Amino acid sequence: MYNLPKPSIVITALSLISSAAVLFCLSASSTHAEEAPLIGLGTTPSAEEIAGWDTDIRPDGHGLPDGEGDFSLGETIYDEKCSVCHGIFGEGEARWPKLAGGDVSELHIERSEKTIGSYWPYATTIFDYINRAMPFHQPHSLSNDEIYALTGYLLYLNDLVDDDYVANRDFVIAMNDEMPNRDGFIPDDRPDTNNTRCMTDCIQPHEIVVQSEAAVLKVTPEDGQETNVGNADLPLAGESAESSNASLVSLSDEDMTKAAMIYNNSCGVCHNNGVAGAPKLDDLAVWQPRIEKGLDMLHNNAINGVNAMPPKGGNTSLSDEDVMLVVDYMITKVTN
Amino acid sequence: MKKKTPVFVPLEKATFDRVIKEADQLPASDRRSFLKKASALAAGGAVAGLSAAKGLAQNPDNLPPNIPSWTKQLGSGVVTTEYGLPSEYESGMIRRYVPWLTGSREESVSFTPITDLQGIITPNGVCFERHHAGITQIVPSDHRLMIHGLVERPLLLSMDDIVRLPSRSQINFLECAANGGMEWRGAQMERAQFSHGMIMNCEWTGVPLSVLLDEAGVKSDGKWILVEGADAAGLTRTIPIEKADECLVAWAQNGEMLRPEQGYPIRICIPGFEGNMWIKWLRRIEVGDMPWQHREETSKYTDLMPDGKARFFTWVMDAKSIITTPAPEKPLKGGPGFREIRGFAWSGRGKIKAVDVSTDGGISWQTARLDAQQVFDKSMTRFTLPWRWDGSPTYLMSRAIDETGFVQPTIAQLREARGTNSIYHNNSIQTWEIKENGEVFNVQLA
Repeated sequence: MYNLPKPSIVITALSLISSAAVLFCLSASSTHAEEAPLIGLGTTPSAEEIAGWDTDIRPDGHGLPDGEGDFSLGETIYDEKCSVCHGIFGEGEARWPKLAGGDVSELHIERSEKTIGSYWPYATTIFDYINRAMPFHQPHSLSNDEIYALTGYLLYLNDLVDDDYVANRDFVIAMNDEMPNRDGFIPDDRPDTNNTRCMTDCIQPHEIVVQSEAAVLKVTPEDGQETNVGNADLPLAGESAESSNASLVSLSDEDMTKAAMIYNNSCGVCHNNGVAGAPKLDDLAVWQPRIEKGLDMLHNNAINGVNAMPPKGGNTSLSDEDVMLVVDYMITKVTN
Repeated sequence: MKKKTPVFVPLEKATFDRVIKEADQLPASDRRSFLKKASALAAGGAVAGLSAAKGLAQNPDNLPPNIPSWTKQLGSGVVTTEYGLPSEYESGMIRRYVPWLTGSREESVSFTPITDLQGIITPNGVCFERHHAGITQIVPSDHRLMIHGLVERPLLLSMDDIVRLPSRSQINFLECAANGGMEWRGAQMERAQFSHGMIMNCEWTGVPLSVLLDEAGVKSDGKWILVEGADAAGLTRTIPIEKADECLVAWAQNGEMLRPEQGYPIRICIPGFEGNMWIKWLRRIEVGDMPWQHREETSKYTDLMPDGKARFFTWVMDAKSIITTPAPEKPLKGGPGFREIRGFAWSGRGKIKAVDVSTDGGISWQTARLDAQQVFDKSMTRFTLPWRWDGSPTYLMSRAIDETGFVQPTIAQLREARGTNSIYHNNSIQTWEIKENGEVFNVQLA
């Protein structure tokens, strides 16, 4: 158990301060009074400093800020900033999390869907998580009103509220009690296996039966494919020489490699699979009209955003030059 | 990426440029003799380089009674590499990842090459990574740790403050709760790195969490601790205050400051508890009177049971073991004969008491040898067992027993208790199938 005070700390304190002060400290920590610190490093954060960082939300609603948002705002923000990964209906694109669907009464079924509606025990967690981590490429970019509106919209996508909601502090706290899986959690009750330490004649030879083999699945990545699987291929040195011939743009091997890395990290998630209408790299027909608009237009759109694509694909840490380089890379790939 | 093949060309270019430069500074006569010697040296190097390029094929010129080429030339000087690197012949010991597993690399996982580990310490360069919003790059002079909530004295500490505090070092494993998660429904990954590689075992150095809490003065109703990262995911977990005495706010790992991908400049270490709780890039500790129930402890890291209920707060990593030699990526080469079976065992509930190994598919078991001086609390422990392989197909398994008496379960026992929807906490006994040709495969027995 955790106890106060720690003898080792008192010894440390002894070497630093007078014995009178030590006595003072001992009595201070045992009575939890507001007294001088034991070691004394650091500063006392101001209320303003704490407020800037202390944004976590608890199930009792502690931490929920002022503000409110409705369906119209929620739908607008969701479609613009969330659906690109989570799907228009919260169904999840590619490997991105599914947010809606599933059924709390079917959680026992093999591969059941764990979504906000079917699994999450608290609505307060939705606000907290969006506030701290979403949108994935633009965290800390939403206002409290927008986060309230989105929290309500996610509950709406899960059929837990109608489209006339006005989400605010009281709404989110009240929704905690409406979460379908609120009572679906039980404390850790391990150990739940009781293997014993048998040493001889534990089973008969005929009882050794292979139930499954990894070999038949062939899903294990092999060395040499690692950077090629999943996202767009990372060109090897020399490979891009022929790529740059017939194109509007001509990139050095070095630029191709650099661009491929940026593409894989920031662009491939949508452009590999055509998520939210993103033109895929292997689809020249879709690209042709875009390319005809000219390189400047493509650069400009990539930097400032177009349709469902946020500025710089959502990765605002990229420089304009990097974004233009990736556009050139994508044109090179699609036209070769 | 192409596998790195040792070739002579880069060496020749660098060396040659230097030789020419030095020769240019010499008088003409000396230059001629200098270049002659240098070209002889370069030719010798070329032979060695070519033989290496053939994939470590033996070059008789280097074998007795001949003097090997490296014995006949100077090696490179000190500080050839300011921060040292492994031998180029060990380039296969790297982190790897599974592209189809996650949406992007910023919210993904890479795996420790567990079968390449030769002792209980995982080198920093190959410790597995798990990020939720990429590798956060923190400027240490701008980093602060805030401690507040139900405390008498809220604190704001700089890195200079933190490294001045009383410190402690301890060796502990850090295992992701989802290690083995891809194997719940059946054997899937043909590589121990992927089936068991979400683990590292390191020496952690930092300030005990209890020192920080004493400094802040926890109020009597402070029962829970929220830890929060400064990454773009602002990752949070709730820790019960009873665990605080074991925890460190660590700034160092294996004798050097944390690597960025491990939470530089500070992370929290929670020995025996699942890796997700070891918040990296730690910026805030809040003391409260109830758990926060955040995403990582409700939506994730809860274990769905066959009845549709889910366990929560399943913090402890139970006893587990794995044979790393042989393994799918470390087949038995050279036919029948002596082998030392090697592997690791660990438990989040204390020390490893014993490891048993079966070389006959579980009919009989023998107790393996542990490195007695290296058995630590909540640490990976190395085990070995001498074995004479007769060349026939068989199955190898290992079984860990920890100091609580807990015996590592079979996958069948785990499925009987938890079904197949749990994702996390698969600590089952691993079976390696040995083929007659020495190849090793990942299988699960009924």
